[in-house]
Amino acid sequence: MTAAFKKAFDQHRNERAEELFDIAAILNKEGLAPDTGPIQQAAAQCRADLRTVGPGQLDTGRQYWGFEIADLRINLEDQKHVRPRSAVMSEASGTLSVTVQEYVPEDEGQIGHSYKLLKRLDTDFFFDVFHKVDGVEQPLRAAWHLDTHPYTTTDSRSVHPRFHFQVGGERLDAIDADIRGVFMPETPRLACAPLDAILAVDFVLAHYCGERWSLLRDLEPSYGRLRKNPMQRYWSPYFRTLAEGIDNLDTVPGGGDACTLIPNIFAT
Amino acid sequence: MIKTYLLIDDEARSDASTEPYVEAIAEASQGSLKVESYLPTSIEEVLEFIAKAKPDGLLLDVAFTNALIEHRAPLPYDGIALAQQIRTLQTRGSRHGAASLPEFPLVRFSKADVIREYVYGDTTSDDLFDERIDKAAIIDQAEAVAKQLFSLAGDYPAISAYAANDKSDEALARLLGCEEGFLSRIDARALLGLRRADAPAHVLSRYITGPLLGRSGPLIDETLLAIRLGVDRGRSEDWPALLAALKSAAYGGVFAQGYERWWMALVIDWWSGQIDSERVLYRHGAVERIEAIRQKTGLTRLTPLPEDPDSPGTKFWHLCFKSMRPVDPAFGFPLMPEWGQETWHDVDYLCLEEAKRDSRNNRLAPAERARLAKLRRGEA
Repeated sequence: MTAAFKKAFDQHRNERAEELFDIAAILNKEGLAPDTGPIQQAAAQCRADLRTVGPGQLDTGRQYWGFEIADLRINLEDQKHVRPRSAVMSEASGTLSVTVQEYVPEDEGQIGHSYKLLKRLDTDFFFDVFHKVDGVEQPLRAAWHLDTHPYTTTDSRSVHPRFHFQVGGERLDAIDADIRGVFMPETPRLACAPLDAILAVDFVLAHYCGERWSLLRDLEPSYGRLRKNPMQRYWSPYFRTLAEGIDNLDTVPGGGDACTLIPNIFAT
Repeated sequence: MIKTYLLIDDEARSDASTEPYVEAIAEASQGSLKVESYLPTSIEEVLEFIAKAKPDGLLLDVAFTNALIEHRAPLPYDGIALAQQIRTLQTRGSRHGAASLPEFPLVRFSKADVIREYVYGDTTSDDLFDERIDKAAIIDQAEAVAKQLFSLAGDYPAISAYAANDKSDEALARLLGCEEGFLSRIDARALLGLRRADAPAHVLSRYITGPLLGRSGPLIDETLLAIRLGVDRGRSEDWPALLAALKSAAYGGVFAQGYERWWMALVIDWWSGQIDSERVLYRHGAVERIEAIRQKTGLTRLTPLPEDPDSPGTKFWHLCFKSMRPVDPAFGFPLMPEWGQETWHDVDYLCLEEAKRDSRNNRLAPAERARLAKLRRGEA
């Protein structure tokens, strides 16, 4: 790595840390998170030593960097049209965890091509409420996650889009024995645009804190600007890959990279 | 090099009153600090005396009620008024080159009952002092106090030099004892107080001893370091050895001798570089943290923090604001920021037991109160 390359790479990681500090400051200022420490700790990781993929894993020996937001609590607004209807939602908070891992670029030109260098982007969210059954409070939990499936070329019993959204999962273990009346198979795994830390926070705010999110959009210009960069780094290439794969099915019937994003994209 | 403090105290004439403090500081500092007592008279005479004595720092009592002037009348000013006048003269001196008083640390040095009478609840004078010490602490924590006083006096010239020159990244990194590149790893908001163009040395010094070193955030103290590593210090003979292994994460900037701190970002680096590159520190419980440290460092005499029903969980990360128990944030109760607490500071927490005991604490947000109420309903 040349000095100029290293400088630009460090700058890229510094910018990711600054984004995290900025989103933490906004959440603090707006009282949307009781403790943004998990984001501060993640920001501190952005410039930590590079890590190397261990033996037996995909891309063994390749270097990567990343950060992890562990159990960030976000204050939620009351949700409407919930099931069971008896669920008591008042003053609930959700718990968001995000893991971002990016391979080290091979040359200076690759810096910032986060989508291409992406190793893992995992987002996990759950929140607890309760309802009363025969006068006794019973716990209820909502949980979803957005996983990266790196082994997109291996066969599995159901489609595994590279980035997929799935309701349920391990976070339901805590209440598994109490579940009644709802059955949750592992499918569907919905293909989904990847969410990094900023986009994951935005996703949660947009879906679970709609009124506050609208105010942020209207009254906090820095919030909008903060979202722009990760959207451009992740979503632009994601949707471009999909559009090009579908447009070019006549020449690439297998769908190319688009098929790894949505395995249903193929013509032969 | 010996540093000299001037103790301005209304009991200075009667040696029996001030001598125990003077001796305790000198003894605890192993001769590196010398304290001279001075009985205040008129404010002009006091200032003239300070200018001539050229101390490395001042210890100021707040009440001057026992110092009398002509006709046994009390002094028309107190230690806080004197402190304000000294700060004004220091600022004027640094601005106009008149140097009527050079920059040096001011330490409030009073008994707790005097503070209750003069200051209680009024924070307006806090910023005048680099440190505020209860006289009783000199007896109970003499060594720690002596270290703080020595580091304040010893490092003030470095802050004065920083204040007088261009506050470049290079100068700031030198002040904080870190590499220039490390500055970009700290939330830029945390450094704003040290980048203020017009701030005199004592304002910068206060920023360091207050927001930067006085509250956990980018820097943490030994107690919190032990909690985050999962170590029960009192039952871990290898704790000093572990601290030595963590030397790369230690804060080495101004006042480091008196305020031992560690950069949290470098602690996380140390963990991922030396202990476990796969799983970040805060994902492990205390037992797992200790096991991983034992395996990689060979330090076997480390005991993990025990589980505690009053502060449940195992992934301890904070210190309960009241009970001083380790807190796992998944089970603790975060408090809303208080005045002066910045977005880059760690949030204060109550452990479960304290939250139950103090459920009407007005820093508990409605969501936290609801969580607490739900827990109580579950227990009923």
